[in-house]
Amino acid sequence: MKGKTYVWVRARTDVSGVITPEALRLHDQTLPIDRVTDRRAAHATKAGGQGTRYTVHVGPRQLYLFLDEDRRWFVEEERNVREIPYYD
Amino acid sequence: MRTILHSDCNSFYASVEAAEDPALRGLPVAVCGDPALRHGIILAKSTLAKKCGVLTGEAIWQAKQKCPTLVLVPADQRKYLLYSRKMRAIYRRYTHFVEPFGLDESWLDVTGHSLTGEEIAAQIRNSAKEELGITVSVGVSFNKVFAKLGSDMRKPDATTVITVENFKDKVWPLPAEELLYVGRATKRRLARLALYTIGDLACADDALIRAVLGKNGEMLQRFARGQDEAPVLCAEEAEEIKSIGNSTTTPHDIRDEAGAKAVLYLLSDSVAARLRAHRLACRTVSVWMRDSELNGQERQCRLGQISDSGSDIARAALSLLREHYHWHLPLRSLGVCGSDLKSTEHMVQLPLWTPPKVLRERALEGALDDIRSRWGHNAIRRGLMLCGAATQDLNPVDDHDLQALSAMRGRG
Repeated sequence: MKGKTYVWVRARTDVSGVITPEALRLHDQTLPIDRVTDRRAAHATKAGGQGTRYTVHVGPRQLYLFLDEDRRWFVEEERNVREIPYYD
Repeated sequence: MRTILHSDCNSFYASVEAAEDPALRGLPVAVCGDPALRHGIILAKSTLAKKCGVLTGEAIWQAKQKCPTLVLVPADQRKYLLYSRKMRAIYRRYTHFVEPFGLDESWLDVTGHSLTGEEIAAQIRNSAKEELGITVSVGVSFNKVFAKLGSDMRKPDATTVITVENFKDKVWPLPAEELLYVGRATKRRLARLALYTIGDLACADDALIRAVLGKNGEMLQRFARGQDEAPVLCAEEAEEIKSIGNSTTTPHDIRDEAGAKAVLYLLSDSVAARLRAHRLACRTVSVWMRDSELNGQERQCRLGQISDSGSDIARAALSLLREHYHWHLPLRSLGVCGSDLKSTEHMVQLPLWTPPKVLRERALEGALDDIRSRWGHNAIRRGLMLCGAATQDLNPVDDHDLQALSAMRGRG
């Protein structure tokens, strides 16, 4: 089961307000983003939630990077822990 | 002929929870109040929970008896508001005639759009799934009543088209209570006339309906015949707020600044709480003063930066009062108004350095909102309110002692 991992991102904002991520830090590694091939409003199908989904290429890897309503960036990662508290 | 859509988010609260946490998918889910606060009832349920017989409004233990595997999720209004706003943003891609009906339903008037109603419905359903992870049912018809009926006919994630040609086949066989505004009482009265379906109501004698159900009956009969002409209101634009103000005539005349200060803080807190509730902040503050001889005056000033804080508004109001009121007569009424409103939903330009005192005030006001929303307005007050006799008996929320400023301005 996948969950959200919030990440540090360096991004560029152009004069028209378009945000383009340039690098992200994952597992203590800062990874440059080579290309952004898509940008759209999307549901994070694996981790839950929604936001602006960027399809980014980091070396040979393609991954989805989300910018949520609270202006936080996250990626979807394998997870075992249930994060939301439920009533018994 | 108009093209009206009615879009209904399926099991909205439970669907939002499942969209936020995929682990909930495929489980019977119910959204409920907090049992620790004695709010432990079912507020909404997923399709699976509904199949087990779980009902909205019943106690958690009753629901658990029917469905032992039921997953109970605490309600999170902030999330539902967010998804509701995002859904409306999707609707507005097609028309600005979007009339919300609660958080999870909206009518859209898409008359004259290059796409057909059915095509737009399909796109909306697709966007809801892809962008938000929730499903919607859409009714497409030529009036609001039939569009709503259509959205109820097939669930989840479906489009139902009701046309002038097919409405007698599709709508008329339905039980009368499916029609908008036919509640239990009306259903009983219709049943006494042996009118059980929408078709029965449509074909019934006009005079009989008018005699038994009055004007309301005539309206329902028009609905059943597909003659509903009500427009889709562009509600969000119509209700765009220009200013938020409150005023009050105090139980006793105000004779000094200390008394006025207490009233201004009371009014400002109320204005600020309403601003925050609408996610707005004001740039301009005005004070309206009326003396015991009913002479009124209004003065305004601009704040250094936009604010939704009661303290900021009160300070500005007090300085206006000091500057412009000279106590030749006692004050009878006071009003405070915030205008030049800006939305705080998106990013707000903050000053480079905010004094810790201001940060503490903001946190405090957030806590006040929270306490008052749970325990009522008088559960907590500023100490200042205890000083002036003028403010002691005022309760701006529960008693409606405070009035919209516009109402007061109009009076002598």
